[in-house]
Amino acid sequence: MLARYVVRRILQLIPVLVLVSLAVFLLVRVIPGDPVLVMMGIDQDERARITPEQYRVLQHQIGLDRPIYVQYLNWADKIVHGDFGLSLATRRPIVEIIFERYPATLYLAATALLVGLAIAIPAGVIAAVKQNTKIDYAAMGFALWGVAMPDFWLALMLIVLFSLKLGWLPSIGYASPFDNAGLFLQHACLPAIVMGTELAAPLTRYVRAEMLDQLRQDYVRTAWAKGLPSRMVIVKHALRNSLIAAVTVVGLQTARLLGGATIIETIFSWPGVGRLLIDGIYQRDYPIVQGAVLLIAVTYVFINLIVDIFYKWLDPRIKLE
Amino acid sequence: MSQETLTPAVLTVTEKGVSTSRFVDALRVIARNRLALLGLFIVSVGIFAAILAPWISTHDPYEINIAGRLQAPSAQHWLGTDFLGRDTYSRIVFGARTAFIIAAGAVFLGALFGVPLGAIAGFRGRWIDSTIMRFMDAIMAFPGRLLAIALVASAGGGFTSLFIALGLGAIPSNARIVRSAVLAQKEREYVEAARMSGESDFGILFLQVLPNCLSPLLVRLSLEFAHAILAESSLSFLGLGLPPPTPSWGLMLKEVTPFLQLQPLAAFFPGLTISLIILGFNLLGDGLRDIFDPRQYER
Amino acid sequence: MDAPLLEVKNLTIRFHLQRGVLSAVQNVSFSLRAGETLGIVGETGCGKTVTSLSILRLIPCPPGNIAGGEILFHGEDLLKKSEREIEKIRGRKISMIFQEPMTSLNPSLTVGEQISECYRVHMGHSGKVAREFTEHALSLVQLPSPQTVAGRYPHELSGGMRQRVMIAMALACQPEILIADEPTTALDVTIQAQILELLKELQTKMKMALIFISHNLGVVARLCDRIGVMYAGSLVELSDKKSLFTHPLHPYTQALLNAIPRPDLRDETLKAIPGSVCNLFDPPPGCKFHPRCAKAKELCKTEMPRLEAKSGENLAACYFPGA
Repeated sequence: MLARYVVRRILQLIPVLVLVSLAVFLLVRVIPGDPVLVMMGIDQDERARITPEQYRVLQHQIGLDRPIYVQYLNWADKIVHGDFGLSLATRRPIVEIIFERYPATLYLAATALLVGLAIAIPAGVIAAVKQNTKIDYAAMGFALWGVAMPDFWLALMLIVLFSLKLGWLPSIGYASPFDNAGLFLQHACLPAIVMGTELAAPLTRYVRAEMLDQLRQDYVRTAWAKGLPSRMVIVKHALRNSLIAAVTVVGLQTARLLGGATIIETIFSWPGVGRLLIDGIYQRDYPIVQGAVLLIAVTYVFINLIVDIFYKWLDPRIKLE
Repeated sequence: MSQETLTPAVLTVTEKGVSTSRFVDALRVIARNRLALLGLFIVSVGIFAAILAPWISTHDPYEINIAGRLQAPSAQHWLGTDFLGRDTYSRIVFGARTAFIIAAGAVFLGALFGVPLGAIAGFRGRWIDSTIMRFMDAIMAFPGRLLAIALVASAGGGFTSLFIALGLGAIPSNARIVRSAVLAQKEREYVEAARMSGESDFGILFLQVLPNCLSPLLVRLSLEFAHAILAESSLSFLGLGLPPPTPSWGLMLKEVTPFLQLQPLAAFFPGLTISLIILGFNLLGDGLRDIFDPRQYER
Repeated sequence: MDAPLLEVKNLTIRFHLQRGVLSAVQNVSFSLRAGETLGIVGETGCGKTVTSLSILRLIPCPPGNIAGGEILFHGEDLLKKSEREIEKIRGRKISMIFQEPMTSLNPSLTVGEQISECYRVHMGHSGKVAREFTEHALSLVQLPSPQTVAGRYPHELSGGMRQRVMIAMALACQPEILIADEPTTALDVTIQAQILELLKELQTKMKMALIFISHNLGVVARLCDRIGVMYAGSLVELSDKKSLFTHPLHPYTQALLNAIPRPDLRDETLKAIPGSVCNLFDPPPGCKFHPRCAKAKELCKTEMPRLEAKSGENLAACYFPGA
């Protein structure tokens, strides 16, 4: 049953992935100016330097002389075979550059996810259990403010406090967690807190609402009536069911996490795909931009797929259908 | 022995479960609405600041004074000055104009395309529905900011491309909301009645069905507004949004970032403003949801 | 007779709600001897569920408030016990089963897990031993192939099976008292009969006392030795089964009996009770039944009658009891 669901979900992905790739392909075409020059990274005013002969050669090289759907199919075919083209700035294959950067993005996102869950779950549970107390109001205040606060501002304020004033943590730099875990944590600390807050704020609210709902359920009353200690009633019975529902929200929030990574990686000079994207834009290195955007979007699509499957697997009621 | 004979019309509140939750619910709605009032207040202040910017600002937002750069707040410069000695307070006030114009434009564009698309998808169903919704899925496959960044990267900065980039991102959520509202409405009797009386599909959809879908949309638009303001400031912060010297909150933050060590307050106030305005719109949206749909206050 | 196992004295429970203060239970007193079966009947909202929940201290406070009274179990006041102490009584000495077997079981845990945790928490058994006990408990409630059932989730079982699971869970630690709050109301009539039969059988086997709560006099009559009748938060009559059916003391009990279809009587004699239950936010002075009572006198409108012995051991709260 689960297998059938997985297959159906994967089949549904295909049109979405095709459209996503089409969008990424067209991205470069909407850039104002001559696509040939854009793709070659030549400014409009330098146009005069190129002879019409050279121009036609370039046009043919990139394949821009063919109909647009042929161009797309050629491009998509190359992508599927792992050929993203060459970076305009460094002339290196884009696949190489991107996958060099990809782990850093994933490590940071995973750390941020852990930070977010470590904040949101206890905060949401305690707020629900102590509903309408000061603790509850504090947690809700955090949730509302955390959603409202721009992440890049939070990042700057944390840098001011922890790097510039207190000097506890570095504001830039990176080390792989497998080479030097301690150094990685030092560098990942601030960006992970910022991104973790992004995730935790809405999640706290959701966990609290779910918990309030579950605590009112009959089966929780049964658990109390059985004489289970309160920690067991709350964690094993109520929280378990709340978290099943929260899984989908975590999935949606990873979108914010991945989207947010572009800005946060840039601020903290984190060598991930997000920063690669922004640098690519600054340098007008469009093949890099295409590759990075495509990779982030596809990552997000697959994370959602995994979350959906995980959710099905977790909830025994749905498993049956 | 039937239940009815033993249970005549009774006051049903007495049983524990019902009374408890009703009590709590009622309290929560009141508390929420108080927050909604706060949200409305913040948003109103923001709108008034945007409209009255020339009159309530203390300085010319473009006036450069290198000698008085990166000052702390003082009687002369209420919120200090930026890296070119421009008055932060005045730039924030004018920044409200920028933020609200772009957000309004983006929200308008999102609704202009999202509402009809969602309505048609919901009303027509079948292949039209699945085609439209697959396109929406594809747009939504770009996580949050990424879509706006990618679009602005290719279309360039400036007002028009910001409208488009942010508006496009708002289309799918509008379409989804309207679609599900239309789906819920279209089976109701009044639609059948209108059809009997010979009204065209188009007439039914736009004159009968859509007005009944307004409340979830209104909630959505309020949250969308907050989202657009955040997105604009993000893009401007990255230097992909509005060009300097436009007074934009995100751009203000970007400009003073290199001087964090010298004057952190110059970065503090613009960010605080963004947070407050977004908080205001979010509270307002939550409040509207409570009022329109008291059953769903928590989600 | 030895000392009662459970004694509820002058229990008063209020709910502080937005609309005002609701007196859910007022001055309720009754006692329960070991092995005895006590039925409590009344309409929805009469306070019978609140009373039973308060014995296990399961009333959420706030908004609930146990304003007065004592609940003595083996002579010790349960209301004065700490949360820790009451946890050791819940499910161990006093158990409870509820009306809705579907929602009363945790949807995301197997029923075996939900039963075996009782053994682990109260008896300190290891997981393996607890599993064996669980299977035994499931066979005790006559579920076929207990091993398979233990691995099932609640939604995979039928309503009757779920209620059997609830019973197995409640009886896991062989409690001295079982409180059953409308355990058969949500079930089909045939299943109802089976569950009642099972309860009765297990009660005799385990020698435990049973408090059976229902709005259905007929069901209560099948199980109980003594029956208490509640009206608008008060216990208005407490009699042994036979006297209650033959010589009801309180006018409300009489009205209830008249409302039950009986094979020996013609349909025309079925009488609904005139009027409706009083507003519990603002109950009338005096006897709360007086606006609906044919025998009400001036005294009934001013003084609240106390629950007193009126005929032998049978108690009623009425100035003019009897037929």
